[in-house]
Amino acid sequence: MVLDSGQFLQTVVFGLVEGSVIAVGSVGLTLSYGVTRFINFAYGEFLTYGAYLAVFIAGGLLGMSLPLPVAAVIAIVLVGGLGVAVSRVFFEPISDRGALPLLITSIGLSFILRNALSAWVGVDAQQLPVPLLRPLEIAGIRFTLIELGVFLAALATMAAIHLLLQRTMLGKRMRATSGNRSLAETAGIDTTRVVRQTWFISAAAGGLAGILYAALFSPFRPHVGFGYLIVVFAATLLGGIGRPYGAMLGAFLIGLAMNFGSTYLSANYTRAYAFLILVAVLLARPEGIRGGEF
Amino acid sequence: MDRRTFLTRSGGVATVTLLAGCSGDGGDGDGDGSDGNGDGDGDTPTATPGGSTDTDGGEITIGVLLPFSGDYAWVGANVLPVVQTIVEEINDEGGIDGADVRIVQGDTEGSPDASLSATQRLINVEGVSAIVGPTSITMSAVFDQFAENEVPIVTPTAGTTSLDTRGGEWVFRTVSSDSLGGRAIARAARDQQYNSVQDYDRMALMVGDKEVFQSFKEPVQTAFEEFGGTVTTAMDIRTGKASYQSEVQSMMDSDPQITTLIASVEDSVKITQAGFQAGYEGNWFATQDQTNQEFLAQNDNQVTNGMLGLTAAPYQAAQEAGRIEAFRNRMQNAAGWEESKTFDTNTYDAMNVLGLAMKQAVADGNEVTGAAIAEAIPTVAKPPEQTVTSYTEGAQAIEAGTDVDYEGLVGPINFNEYGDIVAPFSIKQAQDGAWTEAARLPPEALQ
Repeated sequence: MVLDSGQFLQTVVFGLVEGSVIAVGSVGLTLSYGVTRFINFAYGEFLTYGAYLAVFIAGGLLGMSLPLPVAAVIAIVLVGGLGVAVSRVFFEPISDRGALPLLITSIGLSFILRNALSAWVGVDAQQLPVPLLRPLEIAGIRFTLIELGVFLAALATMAAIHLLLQRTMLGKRMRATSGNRSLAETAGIDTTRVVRQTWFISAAAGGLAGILYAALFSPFRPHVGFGYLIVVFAATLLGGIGRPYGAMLGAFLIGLAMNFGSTYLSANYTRAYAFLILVAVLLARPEGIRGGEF
Repeated sequence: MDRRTFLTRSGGVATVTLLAGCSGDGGDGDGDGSDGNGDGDGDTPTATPGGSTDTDGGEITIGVLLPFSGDYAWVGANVLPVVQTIVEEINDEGGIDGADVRIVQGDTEGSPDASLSATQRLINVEGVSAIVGPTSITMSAVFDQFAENEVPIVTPTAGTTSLDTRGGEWVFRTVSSDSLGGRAIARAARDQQYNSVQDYDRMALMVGDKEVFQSFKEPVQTAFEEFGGTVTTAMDIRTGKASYQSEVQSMMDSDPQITTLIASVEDSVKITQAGFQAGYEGNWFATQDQTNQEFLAQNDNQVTNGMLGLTAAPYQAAQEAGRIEAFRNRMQNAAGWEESKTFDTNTYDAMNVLGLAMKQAVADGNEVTGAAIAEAIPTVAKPPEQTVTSYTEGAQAIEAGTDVDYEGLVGPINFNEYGDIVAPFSIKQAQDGAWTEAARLPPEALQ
């Protein structure tokens, strides 16, 4: 096969744009794993709720019809609150029973949240009110302003998470709780509070990822987040679960792999490429590509 | 291995295992096969799996086997009110030999697995005498059930080519085969007189990887080449993907003048928008699945303007006699419908044929069994006997001892040996968020 450099670069751009959605989602997932130590299968629903709330708040539900950026911020905060609520109702009461009951509960919770949404708004396809734009073309590479916006939003989120972890007290407490919860408690950190704050940040990142996904890939239905969860998991595990910087790197690699696979192998197996990488990583390097802690 | 490494490994493996088990479901599995929608008078039909029904003042149960939940719930929602309307008419006319007709829903959820269990429930638990449905999506999964259990079906929704040579004994349809639909697309694309734009020479096909879409592929491709055109590429695309940029790029690389898009509404929106963003300058041709308001409402006018679409055309004789308008008014009163719905007239014809066949079975001195209904279906629909156009008219004629020939809203409804009908098509063009008719395509034009 002769490699066309234009097509190659175009595929890189598509991969980076999709990678940015995955990055936001996988950072959120990995943060919550870092402090709770279980894999949250209900995480995909945070993506779904983020997308749906943004659509409905922007579209006049709840008596409001707000500009999309404002609606997105409100949706992200609401999803963060939802994260805290589900952690208090479903996960805190069983937090001392080990990872397996928590994991099973999260699977059950994902069904509850998904079906509750379907019952509430129906299963009709929805779209974010974003205009359909012709792409800009710079040096033979095409991208739309929406794609650029998604990429920049993801970069800003990454930077914010970096600053949070490295420069704030909350970040330090999160890292301490993640490293050794008992020791953190002994040191006077209110770890329950830290866990709740982490749930908020994690779910809010999930909500943002859902909105970014919806901006790129409309229309969508209530199972959108659950369907995308495998991709987010792949990135999270590739980066080494519980490690935010690894998750960011893993996300861009998965985004690139999916798009290169689609372009140069077969477009019918996009998500299978993510899954293949996931399995390969688990077999060859189960701690992920990025060792070390937070 | 330290504890952390162990947790990471075991957690990762558990995640992969669980995802492998969970990720493929696509839908929510929230359909429960749905409940019966009968009149609830407590008189349980005494039915056997073979579908024989005690008609002595009892009930005859008819199954409506369609998706009522999931992505194709709109099909059930379009068909059921028409079925209910005709059943009401049948019961108002005194039922079948004194027995009221009762409807039971079977929810296929648009999935073969759910379809099979819904079919078995309708046949074995509800003891239905006949079935309306299913769709092409689930036909292959349940086809054998009908003959094995001697339950006839008249489907207003399944155009699948897999029925082209299999029906005629237990399976009939009041919708054109996709073989004809595919030829219609090919003919309309090749001849400007049928599309009002141009004679298209080069066509690409983008076809979803499910039976309901694949069924169209071969007929369009073969017919377009037969009519002198060139198929630049015939791509299978995975249904339900997040984006189709790569597929659209491949399609554009083949440089078609028009692309026939055989996919779900949702995927078609993504594909046409990806085409718009990638600078595709050719046209699109859609099948019946997208030639509806739902597709245009979800899409952007600058993407859809000028696009061509295929629908079943109203049968001219029915239109001239005012029967189609009368049907629309009736459905507006019965279901509040302000506009026509996909498969509504097909369902009207399917139910009338079924009702008259049950009536004919009684007139022939038979019990209303599946076998007797199946035998009567071609009889009531074929000429040259007295032409009737509604259940009431036909039932009265049958009671008077006359053989009837039902003539419907979608066509004359003369089943061939495979249970198929021939009906005209309409070529639509999208403009500013609405479909308008560009041309009519009579059955003769497909020769």
